[in-house]
Amino acid sequence: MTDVLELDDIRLALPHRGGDRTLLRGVSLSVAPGEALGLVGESGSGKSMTLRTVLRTEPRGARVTGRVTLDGQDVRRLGASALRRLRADALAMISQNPRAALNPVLRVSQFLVEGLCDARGESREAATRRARDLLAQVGITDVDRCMDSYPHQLSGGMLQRVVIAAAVAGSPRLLLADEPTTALDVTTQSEVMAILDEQRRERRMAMLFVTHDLELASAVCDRIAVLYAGEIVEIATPDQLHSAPRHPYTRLLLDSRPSLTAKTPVLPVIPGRPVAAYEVGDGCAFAARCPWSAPQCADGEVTLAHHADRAVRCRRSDDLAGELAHATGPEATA
Amino acid sequence: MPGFVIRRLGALAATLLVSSFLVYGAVYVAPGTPESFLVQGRTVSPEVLVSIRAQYGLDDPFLVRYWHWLSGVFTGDLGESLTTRQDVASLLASRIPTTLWLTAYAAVLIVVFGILAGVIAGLRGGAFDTAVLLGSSVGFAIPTFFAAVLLMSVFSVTLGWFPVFGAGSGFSGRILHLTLPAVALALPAVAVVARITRTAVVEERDAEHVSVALARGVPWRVVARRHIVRNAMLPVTTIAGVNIAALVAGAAVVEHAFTLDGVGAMLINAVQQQDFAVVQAVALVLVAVFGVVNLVIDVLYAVIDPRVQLGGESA
Amino acid sequence: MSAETLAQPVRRRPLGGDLVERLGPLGVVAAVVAGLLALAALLAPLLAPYDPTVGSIVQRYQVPSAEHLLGTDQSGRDLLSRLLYGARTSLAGAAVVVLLAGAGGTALALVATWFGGRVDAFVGRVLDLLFAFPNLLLAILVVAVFGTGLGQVTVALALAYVPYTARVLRSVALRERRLAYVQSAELQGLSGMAVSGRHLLPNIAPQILTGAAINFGYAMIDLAALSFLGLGVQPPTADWGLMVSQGKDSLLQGYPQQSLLAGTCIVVAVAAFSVIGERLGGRRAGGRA
Repeated sequence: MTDVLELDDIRLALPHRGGDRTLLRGVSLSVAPGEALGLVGESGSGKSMTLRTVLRTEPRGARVTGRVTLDGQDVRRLGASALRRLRADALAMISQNPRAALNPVLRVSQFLVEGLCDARGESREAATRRARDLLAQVGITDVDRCMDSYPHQLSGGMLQRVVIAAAVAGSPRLLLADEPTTALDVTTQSEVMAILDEQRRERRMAMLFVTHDLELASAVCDRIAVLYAGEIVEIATPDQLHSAPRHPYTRLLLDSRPSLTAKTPVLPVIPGRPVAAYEVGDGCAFAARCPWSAPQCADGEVTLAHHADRAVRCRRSDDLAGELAHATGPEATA
Repeated sequence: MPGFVIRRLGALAATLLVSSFLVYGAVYVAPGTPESFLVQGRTVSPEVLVSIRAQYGLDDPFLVRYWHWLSGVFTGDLGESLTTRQDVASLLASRIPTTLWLTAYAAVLIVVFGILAGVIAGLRGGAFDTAVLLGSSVGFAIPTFFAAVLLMSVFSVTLGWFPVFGAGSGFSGRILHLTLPAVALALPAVAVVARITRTAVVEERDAEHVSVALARGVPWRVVARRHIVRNAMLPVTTIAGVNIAALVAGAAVVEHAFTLDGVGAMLINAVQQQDFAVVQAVALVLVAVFGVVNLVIDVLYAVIDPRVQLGGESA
Repeated sequence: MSAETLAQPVRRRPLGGDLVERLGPLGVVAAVVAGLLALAALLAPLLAPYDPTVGSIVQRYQVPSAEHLLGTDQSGRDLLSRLLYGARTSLAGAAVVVLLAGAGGTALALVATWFGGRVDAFVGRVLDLLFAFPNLLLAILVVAVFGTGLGQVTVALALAYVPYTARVLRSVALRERRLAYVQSAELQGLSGMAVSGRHLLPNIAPQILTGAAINFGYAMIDLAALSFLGLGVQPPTADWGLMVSQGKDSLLQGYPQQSLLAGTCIVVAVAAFSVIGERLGGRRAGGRA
């Protein structure tokens, strides 16, 4: 079966005073039909920017190279009207803050109908009927009230359900979700996540799921790609990542989360500060912060090496395989 | 909404009452006595002076005089002009149409050209945007009276396209006579409204809900109309409203420049001739109109922005 | 409360060294123009070739010549001299308006902020009442009561501007007062006067200055308008607004220089000052402080 989405060596640079700033340094990945791929990384690692290159909503002036293929179509080369049709039919986006995503002066009904009627060409009556059905499907009980509400009258959780309803309305091939629960109350996060997951599975949609939360990604996604400084450092299934991470950064990412079972006296932190993509020089981008770095890590380009069903970007991954399988203590990272 | 309007009308009535007291009081304490004005520097016998004072009730205490005047206002009697001895209410009535036409015309120009220029500049950018930015900077700095003189010089004196004086009659006559005055009156406000609209549109273009709508495949024309322009109208309504309300007083300058027989010109003449009966009446009417226009703007704003809850503080 | 929040955040917008950077190229040009106008006003007696109020009727409506660089007006007075002297009344008048309005607005804002409660509410009511009058109407009414003349219209306009200044400054001062360093100064037992003067005032100073720069342009226009209406500066004193007005009749007879020159002076001055105000405050044009 061919992949729904394929990213091939995506590079992105933003114009900046005193030269362009690179944000993505060659991201390649693929998403199979119905598959959920998680993009995990610290803020600034380029995960949201990767999503935006798929939708072609990157900031004005950004220079993007590489290929984005969606169902065989070269997304980056589509004309304006073909791009609009693609966005209306094949892609849907759920962003972090539903309050910013909805026009504050339009009713929920107008938001939903607009996506079906103006974007997809359905009749207004049919669109309204479908909008009501969709709201019911995402677990909204008082559909009438919700349809008539303005965004400021609804809670963040309710609004994100509305956004999910709008996103799944056309059963798109690919769902793009950018931290869809981060801005919500903790109590509603899991509820909204469950609705999103259920809708996705029912409609067999593929998903690219951006989050900084490795645990959340593990719970929702089939595979996870870990990003660091604008490139993918490891791709694997959640099980593989948890039991045997191959990249030191993944190991440290796993360790820096407080454990639910064991009480740690001091939470391990990754030493140093995150490196932005444009600051990276020669060699491994993580070398400066890596407790296992060796002289050979400092120069040359480190490639993403594929082994069977997983991939890692580390020269020492074979040497370290055993060591990385075990959690590091604070003394190990000091 | 009706509750809000009623409360605001109540507040306006209170404001008018206090204003009337202030205006009447200020005139009372003003240097120079009315009778010295009435006799116009002629030498008159003390008996005549006494009879004048009695006729105008000048010997009554201040509050009594204020009360007489105020109760007159409630019955539509605005007093009598000190210079022409005419009924102020009918004088006003004869002057109102010109001012109404002039300000309405200017308001239409402000809304149409200010918003249109701003929207096109904000959406299109490029050379038109630069032109609007420059034009608004200059237009804003041109005082209405200078614009009036300039327009008169070019279009009436040199080109002879428009009449120099008079307010005209009938619809087309009015339009012909009032075009230059209305343009002069509207010019600075058009500049401000265009600038604000342009900024609002540019800001709204970058709003997340706009890129979300585009990313959902909603056509650009729909997004521009429903999301960008619609939302940009919120700040624009306030600014356009403030500028339109200010026409109430600004019309005086243009009426004076074009020697139009409007309420504003009447006020200026009355001030110059110290005809306080007219000054008081006109001031009260203008404050009332100003208040009503501001109220209409607030209601309109609440209609177009669902987030505004009418009914909180009345102020 | 950390030491950082207790320290007084003086001069969040320094007005010194980076002034040129904040003005930008256009702002610097505007500042130079404004400076030249001020210089012209200051040095008018030295620069003006003729007495601005004296002319000969036989020399009326002269075209520009070596004798009269910009020609003469309907009374044969030298236009260049009148423009130079006109800068005095126009600029000085606007300066006084801005100064008075700024002082009045600041005082009201500080009093309202400091005493709060009923005093604040009372000040609010008074401002509401003043807001019920269109600016120009308020000024015209003050002139009606106190008579025409430059002094009268200056005070009248200052009064009309006070509510705008006071409202903006009140909200700034109120925000400042809630900050930790003011609260701690209060807890240390400093008097209200001392806290207002020593802590609030320096911190709302940038807003006062920005407001003044923006209002200056408005004040020039409004003052000139009042003179144009015959309520402000009285003949034979030279004033740009009055010159536009007096030039109107000449213009209808085909001699437009006086109106055009005086009007252009007003436009240039207003544009220069509003650009400066806009750059200093980083606000949109047309906003009123």
